Amino acid sequence: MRYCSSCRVTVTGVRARCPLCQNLLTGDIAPETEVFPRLPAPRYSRQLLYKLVNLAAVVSMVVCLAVNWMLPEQGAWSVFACAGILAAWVTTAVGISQRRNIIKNITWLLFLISLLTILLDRMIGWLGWSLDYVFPCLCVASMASMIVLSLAMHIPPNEYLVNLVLASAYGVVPLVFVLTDTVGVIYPSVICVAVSVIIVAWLWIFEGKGIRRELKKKLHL
Amino acid sequence: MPAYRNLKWSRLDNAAKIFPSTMEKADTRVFRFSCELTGEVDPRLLQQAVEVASESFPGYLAVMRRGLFWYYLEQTDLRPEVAEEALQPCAPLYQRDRRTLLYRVSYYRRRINLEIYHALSDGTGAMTFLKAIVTRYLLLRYPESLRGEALDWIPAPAFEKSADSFQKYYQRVPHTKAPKRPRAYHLRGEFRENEDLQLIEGIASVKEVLAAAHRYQTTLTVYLTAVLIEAIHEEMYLRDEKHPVVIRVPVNLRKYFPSETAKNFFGMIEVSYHFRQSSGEFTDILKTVDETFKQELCPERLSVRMNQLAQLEHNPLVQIVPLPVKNVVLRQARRLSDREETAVISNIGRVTLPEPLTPYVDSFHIFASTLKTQLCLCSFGDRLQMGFSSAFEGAGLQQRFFRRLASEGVAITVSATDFPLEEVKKPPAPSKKPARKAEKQAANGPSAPSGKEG
Repeated sequence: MRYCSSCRVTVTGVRARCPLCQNLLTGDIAPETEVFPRLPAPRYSRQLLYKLVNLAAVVSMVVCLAVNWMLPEQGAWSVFACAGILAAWVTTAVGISQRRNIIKNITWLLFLISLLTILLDRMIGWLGWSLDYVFPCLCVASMASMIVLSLAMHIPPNEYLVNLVLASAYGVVPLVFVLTDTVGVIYPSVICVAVSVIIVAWLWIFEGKGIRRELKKKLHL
Repeated sequence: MPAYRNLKWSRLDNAAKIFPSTMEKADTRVFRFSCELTGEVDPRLLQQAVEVASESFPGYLAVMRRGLFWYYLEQTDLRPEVAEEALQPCAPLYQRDRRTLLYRVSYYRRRINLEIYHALSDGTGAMTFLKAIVTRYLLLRYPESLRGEALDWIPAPAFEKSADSFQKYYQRVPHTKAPKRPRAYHLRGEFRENEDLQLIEGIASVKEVLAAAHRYQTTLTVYLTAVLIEAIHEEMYLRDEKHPVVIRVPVNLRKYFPSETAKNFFGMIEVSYHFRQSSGEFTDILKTVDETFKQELCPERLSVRMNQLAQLEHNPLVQIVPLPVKNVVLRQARRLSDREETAVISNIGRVTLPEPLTPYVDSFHIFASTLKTQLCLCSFGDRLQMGFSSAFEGAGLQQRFFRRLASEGVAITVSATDFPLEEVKKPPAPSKKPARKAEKQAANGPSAPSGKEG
């Protein structure tokens, strides 16, 4: 084996220099004594998508503000544009960060997008479209996509049940809007509440034990 | 009935609760136990061995999931797959929302590597598991010569292995205000660019190191701890000496509180040496280390520390904080606690295997992921392994440590994971070609251990 005369240690493998002091080694190489493989350096480009999204958001907001500043006669439209970009930015960031668990991702996006659209609707003068159409449609779409995806992707029940319970509970919320006359068009809301109640009932009747067990795990102190 | 309803799950033990929250890119909380055999590893037999051994440790066949308040382990159908070593040492095992086993088994030439996530187990549990794998592998590899030997691994019953011994021995202790501890000296150096670990290990003869220790009338652990403190001192600037050198030493609590758990059950003690307030002589360092060990290593002292940590977990206010908040708080707490530590030295001690297996096993090796520098020790027969894992570039500390031992007449064989660029460009060594490797493997035959430095 190779020897480092300055550290006075034997060195395994085929290396030319001492791993301790980097001096040249003497003696015969002994390839069979190598104990660690030579590995390529790890690559760290994992966050590339994140970085691109962040840059795109910053660039588009800065461009909007700059153009608006140069052409002020159109009014302060860039403020609304920036609000929209921010909302899209947050949504995309959450979507990327939760990308490995598609069902949980849907739950997150359901909560986030529904709240953001209500905010946006308020900001541009409360026309009511967010509660009339977007909120109930989002709920129904989320529940439907959860069921379809978990069937298509063979996702085990313990991964989607809690999310489906959350989404269907959230889907009952439009009942409050209908009862308090907050919504103008009631059809989407009523359909959403009906679908949600049916799903809650189905879950409770068929998967009640599983859900209770799953909740016990998730909520243990 | 759908299987998911009956999936077993378990809480993390007290020590394990810290690990997922305080995981960082550079410190994956994964540690590696390796066993070097005398012949090249046969991947097919290793796979069979791992499959059998893993069924004896059902608690490890689990994935980690996030609850609202704590992480927990859940039974899984996933089974380990053996692969040739191709990842960075101690590469991450747990990634959020990714369902993977929390250990991996790889091999390279004559080594079997078991890498295990610390939330699953501590060193003792991992070593028991590795020994089970090695025993099973050798039984498959050398069926003729080992036939009839009563070697079958008899692990503790499953319920005993999955017991949380922190809970078993927990009792409330009166609240005492911990004295403010000073910031410890921190090793200087550049962190590694890729945030991976650098492994450097030295293998020496136990007899030679013991002889050196006996010249100072002390034990091997105390001696090597003192050598490490001295090596750290040589790295220090004069102005750094206002901070003490603090070495943390994990202690296997099973020795003090009877337990056969395969989960975590360890505590920490600290050895502190202040160069400005002491002479700095090697004999004085030895004396301090020896006294600290004697004072701290008793059930009463260990139990106080253990219960203080466990008390935090039993605090209802801590319990009801949602997990994302806990993660932030625990990460900060870890940063603060890290300020009080210079390095870690972890001694697994003597590893033993049933007598008929020993001719086929060369040595055992241990490394742990760290944000600083950590030294792991273990011995098998006469072979003592001293494994440095480091988050830093360069090897100044390791060099000083091994040079000091060499100057005491200890013969050391060094191996390292870093291959400087100039060497990588060279054509690969002939024996690395698969064809030659297969030949060699065949020639190595069942009873022909390749003679590594005798």
